[in-house]
Amino acid sequence: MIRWIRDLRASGEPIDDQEFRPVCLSLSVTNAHAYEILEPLSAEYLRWSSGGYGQRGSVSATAQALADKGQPPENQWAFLPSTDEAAGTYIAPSTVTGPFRRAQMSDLISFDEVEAAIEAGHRVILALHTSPDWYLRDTTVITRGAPVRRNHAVVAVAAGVMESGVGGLLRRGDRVLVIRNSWGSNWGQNGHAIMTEHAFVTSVHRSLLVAPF
Amino acid sequence: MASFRDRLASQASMEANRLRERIGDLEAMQVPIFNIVRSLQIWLMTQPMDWSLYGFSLIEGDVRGICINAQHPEPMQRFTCAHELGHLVLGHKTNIDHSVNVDSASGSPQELQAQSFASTFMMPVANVYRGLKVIGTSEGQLSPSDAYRLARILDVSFAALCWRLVEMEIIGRDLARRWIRSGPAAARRAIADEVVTSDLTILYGDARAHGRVGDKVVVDIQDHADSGYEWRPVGSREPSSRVRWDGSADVSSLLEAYEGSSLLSLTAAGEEDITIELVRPWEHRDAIETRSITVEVAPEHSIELLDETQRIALRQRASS
Repeated sequence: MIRWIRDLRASGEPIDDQEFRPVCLSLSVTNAHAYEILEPLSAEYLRWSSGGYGQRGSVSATAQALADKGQPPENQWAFLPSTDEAAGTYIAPSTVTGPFRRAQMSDLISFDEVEAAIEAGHRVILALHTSPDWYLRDTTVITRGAPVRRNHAVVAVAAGVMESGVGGLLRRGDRVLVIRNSWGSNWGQNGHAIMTEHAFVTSVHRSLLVAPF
Repeated sequence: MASFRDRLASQASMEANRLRERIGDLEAMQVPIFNIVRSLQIWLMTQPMDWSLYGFSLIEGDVRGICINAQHPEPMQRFTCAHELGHLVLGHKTNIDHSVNVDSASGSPQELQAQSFASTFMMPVANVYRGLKVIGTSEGQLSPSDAYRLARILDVSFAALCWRLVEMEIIGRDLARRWIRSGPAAARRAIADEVVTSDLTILYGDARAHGRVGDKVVVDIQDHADSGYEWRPVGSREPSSRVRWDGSADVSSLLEAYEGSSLLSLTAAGEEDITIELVRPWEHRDAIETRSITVEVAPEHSIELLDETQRIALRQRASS
């Protein structure tokens, strides 16, 4: 059992599925941003516009695009897993007219700060690397950051403390986060999994907060 | 007109071919030199020696033995073994092979002959051409990385292979010197789909890899692991006892150009066909794609199987 510090999961919220597209950061930033302003936003536009600020989809390019260009409403350019970014036609459609919601991304530097941000009602983006725990038939708890698999990004949507141990994976008193993935609703428990503090420390490269302005 | 040294080399080379014929049934690309030596009733052992020593051969009465420097990489040990076998077959006296004598262009006639014997025995013409066919290149287009792959296929050192290519007039002497001077690592890096460390092979494009026990093979197939997709052996996690599928791996620390690849560890000798599929493990739907890979795994070391009594006896002889 988990004693929740704060649980920001929203019932009925659809889980993204990026399929083959390398859009985890855009989807994660969009989710955290939309949660702040309570409006669905276009992840596709953020992904596309980040290409004008360096390596498309990198943290720095995405942060600059979010601050400079912002994001229009989701229905103006919906995310499609089948979109071919390499095609010459990958350009913002004429349906994108705004308003463009802008935000700053800032770093949190510890598990404590992430926990505090969630407690204050903010979802936190985690740029990390995956480990074999992520690729199980029934991933429920991520306890390891090694061996390193791939770079990825997810959203931390809840924080809590274990009130009792679970099968040797979790012990009473362990601090945990609930992460929201973008690998479809069949992954983990409806697209979510628990991440231990150890996994956080050994796999998260950057923890990012989105602040609309 | 052939020089005296050329004639000596040719004689030794013919002696090697005669021995191959006598043994028969030597179709393997990787000549099982250790087993052959044992089958000829020659004692064989390894022993750590100064790096500059390759090994030595012993003749005492009707007893013949070979000792190889255990510090050297196995492909080099294999060639040294053939070199020492050459000394014994060619009737040379007890001989200690130091790099100064063996590597020198003006080495003694006996060293020249032993080198020529080993080169022909380990890399017969037919095997070299079969190897070129396997890697899909021809004599005129050979690159350093092709030579590296060919050395892996024949399980000989990169330098030994280069000199064999010179003997067969596939490359010139100056080019061989340049390639050897740059070293196998440079040859591996010469094209992106090659190797970074001595025990890491990259399988790319073609679906056939040659390695030895203990090697790790980077299977360079885009896997989209950042989206949850992984290549996995069809049916089970471990395809066989010969290879272990390590799955998606971040090999960028080993090889700059590769961020998305899978690793395969070679654990036992033999040939293995593996079928892998691209799946999200938690999704119950057909694989996006399947691929087949054939891996030929050479044994790690068979000298260790030397009878302990022989080992002790030979060691005593060597130290006396």
